[in-house]
Amino acid sequence: MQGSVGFGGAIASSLEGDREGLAGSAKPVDGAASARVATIKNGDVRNGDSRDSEFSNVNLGSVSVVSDEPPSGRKIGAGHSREPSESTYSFLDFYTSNGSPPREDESKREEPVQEEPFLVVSKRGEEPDDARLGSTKAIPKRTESLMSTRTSRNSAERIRSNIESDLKSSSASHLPSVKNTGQLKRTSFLTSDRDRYGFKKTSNHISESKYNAWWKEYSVYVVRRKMKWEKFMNKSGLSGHSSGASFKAPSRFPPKSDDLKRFVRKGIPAEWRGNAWFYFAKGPEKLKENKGKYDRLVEETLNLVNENTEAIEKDLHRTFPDNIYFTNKTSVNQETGLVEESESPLIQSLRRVLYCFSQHNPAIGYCQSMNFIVGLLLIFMEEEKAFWMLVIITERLLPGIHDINLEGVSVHQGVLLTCIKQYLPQVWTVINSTIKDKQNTDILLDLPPLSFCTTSWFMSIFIGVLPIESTLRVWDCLFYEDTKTLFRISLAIFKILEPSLISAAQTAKSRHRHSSRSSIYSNDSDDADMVTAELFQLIQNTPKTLLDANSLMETCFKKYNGFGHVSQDEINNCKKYVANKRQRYHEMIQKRTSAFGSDVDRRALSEEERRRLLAESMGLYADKKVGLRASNWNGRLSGRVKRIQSRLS
Amino acid sequence: MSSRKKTILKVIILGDSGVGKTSLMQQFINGKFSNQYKATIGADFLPKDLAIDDKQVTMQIWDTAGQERFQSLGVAFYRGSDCCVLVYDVTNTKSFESISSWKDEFLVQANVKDPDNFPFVVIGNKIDVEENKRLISGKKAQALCAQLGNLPYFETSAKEAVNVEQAFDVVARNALQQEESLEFADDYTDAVNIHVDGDNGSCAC
Repeated sequence: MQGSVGFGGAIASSLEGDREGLAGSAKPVDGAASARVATIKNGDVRNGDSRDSEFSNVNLGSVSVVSDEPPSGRKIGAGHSREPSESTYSFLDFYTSNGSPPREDESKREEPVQEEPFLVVSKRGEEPDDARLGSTKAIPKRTESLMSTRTSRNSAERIRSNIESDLKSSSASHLPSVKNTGQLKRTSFLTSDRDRYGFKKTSNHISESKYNAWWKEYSVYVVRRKMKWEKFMNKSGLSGHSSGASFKAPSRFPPKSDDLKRFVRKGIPAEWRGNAWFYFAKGPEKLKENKGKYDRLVEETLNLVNENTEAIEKDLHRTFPDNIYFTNKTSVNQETGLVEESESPLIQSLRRVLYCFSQHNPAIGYCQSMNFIVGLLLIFMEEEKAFWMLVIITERLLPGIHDINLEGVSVHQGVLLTCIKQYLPQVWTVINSTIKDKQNTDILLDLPPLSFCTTSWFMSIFIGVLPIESTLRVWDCLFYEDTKTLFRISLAIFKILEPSLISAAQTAKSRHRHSSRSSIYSNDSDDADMVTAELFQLIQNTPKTLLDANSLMETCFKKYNGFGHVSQDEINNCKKYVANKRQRYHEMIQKRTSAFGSDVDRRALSEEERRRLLAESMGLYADKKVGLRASNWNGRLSGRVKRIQSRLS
Repeated sequence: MSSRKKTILKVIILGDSGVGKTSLMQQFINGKFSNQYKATIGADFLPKDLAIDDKQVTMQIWDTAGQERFQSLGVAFYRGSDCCVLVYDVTNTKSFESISSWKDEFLVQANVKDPDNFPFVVIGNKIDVEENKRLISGKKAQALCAQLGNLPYFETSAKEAVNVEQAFDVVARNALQQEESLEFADDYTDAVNIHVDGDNGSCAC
C-alpha cells in the first residue's frame, strides 16, 4: 500500500521531468524520449499495483498503430475482443468484504484484461503534449460505441474507488486492523510528491516543506475528526455497516442541526464527501426523478460534434494537468517502438459528463470552469452523480453564473462588492480608490477590473483559487449551508488580505507619486492603474497560500469579527437588488440604442435616467427588511434623490 | 534616469481559447514553458520590469479567458491599455479567422480614442508543430495584418521560446509610444488630438 502511493508519485514526477526536460531543450531526441518512457512502463509492470497497471495494461492490450494519424486521431475499439464485465464495480462492496482492501486481486477478478478503447498514437520520438492535444484536434473523431463507454466507465469507477480507499486509509487509525495501513498511508504522503487526491502537493505558492509541515498536523486532525464523525453517526442511529474493521461510507446523514453544521464546518471525512455532498445537495431526489436519463444522454451524445464539444475537447486536458488521475499515460510500444498515449479514464468521464450537460441544458451548453467543477466531483463520486450535481449547481446553487452572457457572474460580483462595502469598510476604501471617474461610475453596473480577480471564486467555486484541502472544506459548507457560504468565505479571504491590501495601496500610491514628482504626466488615472495592479496580484496570489483550511474556517466563522452572521436571506435580497438594477440598466441602454443608434457611449446615461434607475431599484429593495443597506449604494445619487423628494414635498 | 517617472505599460493579450495566451505570457515573463497550464477563468495578471533603450518601464500584462462568453463580463481592464496582443494558433483556422473580431471587440470595449493608430501586435503561435499540421501560412497571416492596418506580425513558439522575446519587444516599444502620445494628449485636452507618431506598422518580423 505504501509503495503504491509513493510509486504513483514517482511515475508522475519522472513523467513530468521528462516533458519539461524535453520542452526546455527544444529539440526532442527520439531515443532519449523513448527510453525514458519505456523505463516508466517497465516500472509500472513490475509494481503490479492495480491503479498503475490500469494504465500499463492499456499498452499491453492489443493496439492498432496508425502512424499517419495525427496525435489527435483517437482510435476506437481497437482489438475489442471481449465483452466488458457486466457487473458494476462498487467500492462499497470493496469495503465490506475486508478492512484492508485487497485492491490488486479484486480488480483483476473484476476485469481480467483491461482493454482501453481509446488510444492516441503519436509518432516516434514526438513529445506527448497534453496541452496541445486539445487545440490541434478541431473536430475529434468520435465513433464510440456504448460498449466502449461502459468499459470506460468501469475503469473510471475503479480508479475512483482506489482513490477512495487511499482517502480512507489516510484518515484511519483507531481500529487495529486499519491502524497500520492508515499510518503508513499518512506518512507515505510525506514522501510522495502527490497529495491524497492525486494532486501535486507543491505549487509556485506552496513549497514541499511547507506542505509537509502542515500535513503532519492536519493528517492527525483528519483522523480525529473521522473518529468523532463515526461516533456522531452512531449516536444518530446511522451507523452504517460497521462490519469488519471499516465504517462504510454512509449514504444517509442525520437531519440538519447545529451539531451537524459544526461537524460539516470542521470537515467531512474525505472518503465520505461524495456521498455527503450528493445527499446534502438533494442529489438522490434528482436522480430518482430522472432514472435512466443520464444513460440516455450518454447514448445521444456518443458522436456529438458541435461548438460546445469542440470547446470541451480543448479543456479536457487543461483541467487538472497537475493531477495524476487526469493525466494521460504515455508508453512505448515494444514491437513498433512508437510512443503511445492513452487517455485517462477520468478524462473520458469528464468528457461524457460535459457532453451530456451541454445536451441537457443547451442554454448553458459548455462554459469554461464547469470542467473544474466536474473534474473535482469525479474524484469523489461516479459520473452519473457528478452529472446531476452539475445540474444542481448550475440550476439551483449558481444560477446564471455559467449562462451564455455570464450575467450571473456580474451579479455575484456586485453582491460581493456590496458585502465588502458593508462588512469590510477599510477594504472597500482601498477598492474604491482604484475606480477612475467615480462620479460617472456605478460600480454595480460597471464592474471594476479587480472583479476579474474574483470571477473564478464563483465560476469554479474556489477550485484553483484555494489549495485543494481548503477548497473541499468550502464545498462541504456550500452543499450543507447553501450559497451564502461563498460570500462568507470571500469575505474571510478579504479579511485575511485586509492589512496587506491597505499597505500595498499606500506604498503603490506614494511610490508612484514620488517617482512622478518631476513629471508633468502624473494623474489620478495612473494612480488607480498602479493600485489596481498591486491589489490584483495580492488578491490573485494570497488565496493560493491558504493551505490551512482550519484557520480559514476560523476566520470565517469565529464569533467576533467573523462572517457567520451573513444570512442567506440577506444574500438573496441583495442578489435580487443587483440583478434588477442591472436589468433595468440594460433595458435603458437598449432603448437608447434603438433610439439614437449604436454609437451612444454605453456608460453615459443622462442624469434623469440615472435618477430614475436609482429610485426604481430603491423601491425594489427598500421594502425588504435586510441588513445590507444596498439602497445607499450610491451615496451621491441617493443624496440627490432625497433632496429632490424633500423639495417636492 | 532615476529621477524620471517609471512608465506603466498596460498590455492585453486576446485570442481564442487554447491558442497559448497564458503560455506566451509565462514564457516572456518567466522564460519557462509547462504543459500544466489550466484554462484561464476571468483574467490573470503579471508584471514585468524592463528597460527600453534607456527608459525603465513596468509592463502590466493581462491574460484573458478565451471563451467568447467571457466578453460579456464587460471588460473594464481593457480601458487605458497601451497595446493589445492578438494571438492565434497556426494549427487552428478558426482562431485565425477570429483575429479581426477580437480586434473590433477590443476597440469597442476599450473605448479607444484613435482606433486607427492604436498599437496591435498579431502573434501566430505554436510554430513548433510539424509543417503538415500547420494550417495558416505566414503569407496568409501577413496579408491579413496588412489588411487590418499594417499590424506588426510575429510567428512564435511559446514552447520552444522562439520569437517571444522579439514580439514582446515590439509590444513594449509600441506601447511606450502609445503611452507617451496619450499622456501628451491628456495634458492638453483642449488641443487637437495630437499623435507624436502614428507609424506603428513598420516593424519587421
